[in-house]
Amino acid sequence: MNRQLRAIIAAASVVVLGSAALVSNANAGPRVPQVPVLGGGLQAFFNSIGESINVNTDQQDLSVFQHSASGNALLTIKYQSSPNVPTQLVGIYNASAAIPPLFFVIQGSLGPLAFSSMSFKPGNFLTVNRFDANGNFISTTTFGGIDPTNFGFYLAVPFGTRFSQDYRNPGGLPHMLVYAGTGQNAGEFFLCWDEPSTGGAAGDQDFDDCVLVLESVSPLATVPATIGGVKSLYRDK
Amino acid sequence: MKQGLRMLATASLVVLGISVVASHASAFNPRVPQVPVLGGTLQGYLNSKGETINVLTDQQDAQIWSQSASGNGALTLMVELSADAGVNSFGLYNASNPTPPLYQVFPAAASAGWFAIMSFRTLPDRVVVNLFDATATIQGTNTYLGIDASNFGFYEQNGNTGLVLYSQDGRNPGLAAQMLAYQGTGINAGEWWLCFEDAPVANSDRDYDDAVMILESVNPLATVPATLGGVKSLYRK
Repeated sequence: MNRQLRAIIAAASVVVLGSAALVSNANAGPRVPQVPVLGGGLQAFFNSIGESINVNTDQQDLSVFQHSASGNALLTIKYQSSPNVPTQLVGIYNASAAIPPLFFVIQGSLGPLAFSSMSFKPGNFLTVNRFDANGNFISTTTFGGIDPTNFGFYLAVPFGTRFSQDYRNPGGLPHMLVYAGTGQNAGEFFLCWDEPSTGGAAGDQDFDDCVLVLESVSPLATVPATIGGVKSLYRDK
Repeated sequence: MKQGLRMLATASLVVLGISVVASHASAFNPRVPQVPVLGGTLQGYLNSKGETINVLTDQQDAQIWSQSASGNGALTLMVELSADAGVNSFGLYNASNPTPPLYQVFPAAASAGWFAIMSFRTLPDRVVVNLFDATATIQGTNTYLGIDASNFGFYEQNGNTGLVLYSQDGRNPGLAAQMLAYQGTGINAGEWWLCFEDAPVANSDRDYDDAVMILESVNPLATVPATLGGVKSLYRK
């Protein structure tokens, strides 16, 4: 294969990666580089619930997930610090879709301790059951076309929608940081969102606008959108 | 004084005999000794789910549990391989109560694929159980007052005989293990397999596949051995 052809294939691969995040089944490592978290609100929240997480150094390189053997997962609102709480909508999307439909899971207006169950069923169906903070049933929706083996999360507010996959956001900026629970929260993940500002500008990087606990799913390691990342997918294990 | 101390120690052991005391250490250890699991069906079932668990050597010393940060826990009935599946019900109880009330999660009518979300709330202390069938359609909601969210166990009850068997060995006939706990592996990391033997072990087939569940979003507590050393360790810092 001549050099020019190789260069074309490599360039095409990077373009593909730009529109569809590839994932491996390896466990994730730390996010590189770690993202500065401003304001102190998120750290104070973790401290208040007995977590030993350092928000500036314990970020995980996670943006996409898959279901586990039970087929059920829980998403619980744990903390919110934003004037936009009443308008927040959180959901999932197919991580490999170039322009993914949005599958609504929970609304911010329900407040902390409200939660939703996500039941992944054969045939790529997802049933979402929503509950308020007291465990009272609110609503249910069944979606078709979900990819249970590779999905991301989104947060929508009137100023725009932001995704767990950085590259989908304006400027490729991270808007959701993931931390692995520690101690009694081992096996769980904290999803920490930074909303866009008025007019869709970048957020204030406090990542405490909406904090959710995600349980009963398995993370997928994100493969970097580089030629090295492409090569790593085809290397013998 | 020495006689008084001896009496105190004896009394402590009696108390421990009926109520397993838990430490809040988040670490848990293998069950010692490991319990023989006969028949091969439990191993076959876990293999079919892609687990790398060895049912004979990977049993964890997890008999009691506490809630995690989300305040929610999910319990999914994966399979029932018992002639009594139609009469067996399952639920929670307060692990430190000598004669605990039973808080039913799965009625006898529940079958494979059914799941429940247990929401632990305070003021007053309660657990709200939302029950779903295999299609994720809600089947009912029960609220139980008085749950101890920081120290609870699981039970199985036979509707014909009324016999109740517990996750705490110390409560069962012959102090036998009626429920084995395994940690999920791979995509099920952070989850727990609860595997019930539904007849008293001395008169059973010891296959521990009569009901197999996945427990998610709660945390096991290390069991303190019911010995004088165990008692002492509770007061050591």
